[in-house]
Amino acid sequence: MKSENLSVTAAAANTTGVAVNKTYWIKSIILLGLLGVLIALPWFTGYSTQRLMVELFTFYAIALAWNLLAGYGGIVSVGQHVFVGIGAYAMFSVSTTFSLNPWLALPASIIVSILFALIFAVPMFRLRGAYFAVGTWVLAEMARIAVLNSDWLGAGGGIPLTTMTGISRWLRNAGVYWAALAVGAGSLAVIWWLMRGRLGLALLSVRDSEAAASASGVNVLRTKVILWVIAAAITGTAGAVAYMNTLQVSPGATFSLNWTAAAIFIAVLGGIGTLEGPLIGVIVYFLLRECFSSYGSWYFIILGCIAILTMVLAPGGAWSLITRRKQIDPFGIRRILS
Amino acid sequence: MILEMVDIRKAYGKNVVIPGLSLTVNEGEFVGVIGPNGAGKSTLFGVISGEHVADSGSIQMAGENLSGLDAAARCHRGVARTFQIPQPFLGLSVYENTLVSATFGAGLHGEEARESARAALLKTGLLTLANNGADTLTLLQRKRLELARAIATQPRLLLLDEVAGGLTDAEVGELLELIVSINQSGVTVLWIEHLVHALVSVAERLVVLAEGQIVADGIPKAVLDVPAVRETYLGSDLEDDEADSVVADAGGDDVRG
Ligand SMILES: Nc1ncnc2c1ncn2[C@@H]1O[C@H](COP(=O)(O)OP(=O)(O)OP(=O)(O)O)[C@@H](O)[C@H]1O
Ligand SMILES: [Mg+2]
Repeated sequence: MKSENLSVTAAAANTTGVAVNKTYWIKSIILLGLLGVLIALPWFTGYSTQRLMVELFTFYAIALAWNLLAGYGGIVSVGQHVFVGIGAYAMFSVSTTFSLNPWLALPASIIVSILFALIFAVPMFRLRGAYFAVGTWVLAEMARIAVLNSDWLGAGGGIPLTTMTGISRWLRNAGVYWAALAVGAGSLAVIWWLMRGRLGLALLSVRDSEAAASASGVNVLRTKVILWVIAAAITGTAGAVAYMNTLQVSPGATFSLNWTAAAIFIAVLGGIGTLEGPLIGVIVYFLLRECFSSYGSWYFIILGCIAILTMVLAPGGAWSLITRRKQIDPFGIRRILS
Repeated sequence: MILEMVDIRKAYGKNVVIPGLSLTVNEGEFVGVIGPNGAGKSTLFGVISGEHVADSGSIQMAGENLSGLDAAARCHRGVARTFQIPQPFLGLSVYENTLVSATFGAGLHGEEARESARAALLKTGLLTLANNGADTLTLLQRKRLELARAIATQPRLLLLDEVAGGLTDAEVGELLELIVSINQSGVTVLWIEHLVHALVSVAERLVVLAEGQIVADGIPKAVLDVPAVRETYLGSDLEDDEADSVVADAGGDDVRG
């Protein structure tokens, strides 16, 4: 009976092998086409559209990172905006201090965010559950206050991005847009690549049962810290790009809880613990914003109601409404035994 | 000596489950563990596997001190366990469940990991379900998946916590065969099971736990003859005749401890 099973699965593997190859090509062509259109966007859209897209991509990246933390690591951080601030401030101060082109200063955001994430990990990962969540918020508050009182970071006034002067308006807008596109697409690509590898397997097991993951040899703490650092790097870079267009960072706006709130909303709406969720979530979020933001405080009440309704009616988010009917895996992170 | 525990104490808050337990197990032994509900059997496994931290006492594996090592580190040193209440990775497929063990427990890469994960599924009869979601498994299949995951870590010391409950006689037979073959390949087995019949037919040593203490330890037949064992354990679970037949099955007459 056992050898029979083997030959059956072997035959199945052959047919799916061909199918996988074909869909792989179709997917690649669609993806490349989409990427081409997105890259060409500055040539056929105005500045306001580009700025909207910058927001969309940076919010997407931050939500993707938050979703990764919460959905895969069970790490609920309400202080992710600390990395928005750190990333943005790192880029601004490196760029202005060394008179460096802002785009060339972006790697500083990645490096500084990673450094701070590692430092923060030491106290934070001693905290459990709700204490961790509160801890991250306190951390962000402390960072904001520290920046507010640091003269070399411009204190309350912040830092203007003086190195942007001399760059034409078109090029600046297009350049920031491309940076945002790179951050959005890049973070998805990085996370997709990680999820397909060893780290992804470890993360998925930790997500489902920490006790069983640990018993199976997965180093749960190390997996979580790696995740925390990756999320910080993505959030920090997205934060830096988000502030390239405003040309100014300031403690109040940059270290604002609004960043984390939006990320949580997008992740919850789209589906926590999936790669697809934030993509849907961010689109819905911006549609809602474009439609309702003129209603002032009602807009936030509507957002809140939608978030609560989602959690009650479809806890898996919008993406679960699709997978509930049909198991699909567009990013191909499932491992199939053939 | 693969496992040596001295004066292990474990309490949950004020509930002292294991007041002070010492146990040594030799490499390659097949040890059955029985005891009434709430005796602390699963807790004992938790302490060995690193799920729980003992309040005091020492625990060594093959001469190395295990205290201070977490479950993952102990897994890397060859401790594998099944959970009495199965804890599959519900969002993963059956195959991915065993792949986690092969990758991180056994430390295998690529094709080797895939092959080891597949072999564990083949042994436990789960291969046909390999690409199904673990959430689609029945309770019995989940128990088998627990076993498959434990095997896939390539353990030296295998801790089985009630893997035979609910099986038919034929299925119990297959399971016994599998576990005996694992043991014969050199893996030390500690097996908690309420199916005393099945357990004594394969175990070479039986440990009886009551209120966190070892009340008897030795060759199964002799252990089952101890009056205290009949009272505290068999008395409640087996009729007298049945107890006798179990004893007859077990054979041998040497009691330690
Ligand atoms: N995680 C826990 N937290 C608190 N108390 C626990 C925990 N796990 C077990 N206990 C308690 O410890 C005692 C021993 O439980 P344990 O599961 O070790 O017994 P057992 O011998 O495995 O029983 P069974 O045959 O029912 O599986 C019980 O009173 C139980 O309620
Ligand atoms: Mg138990």
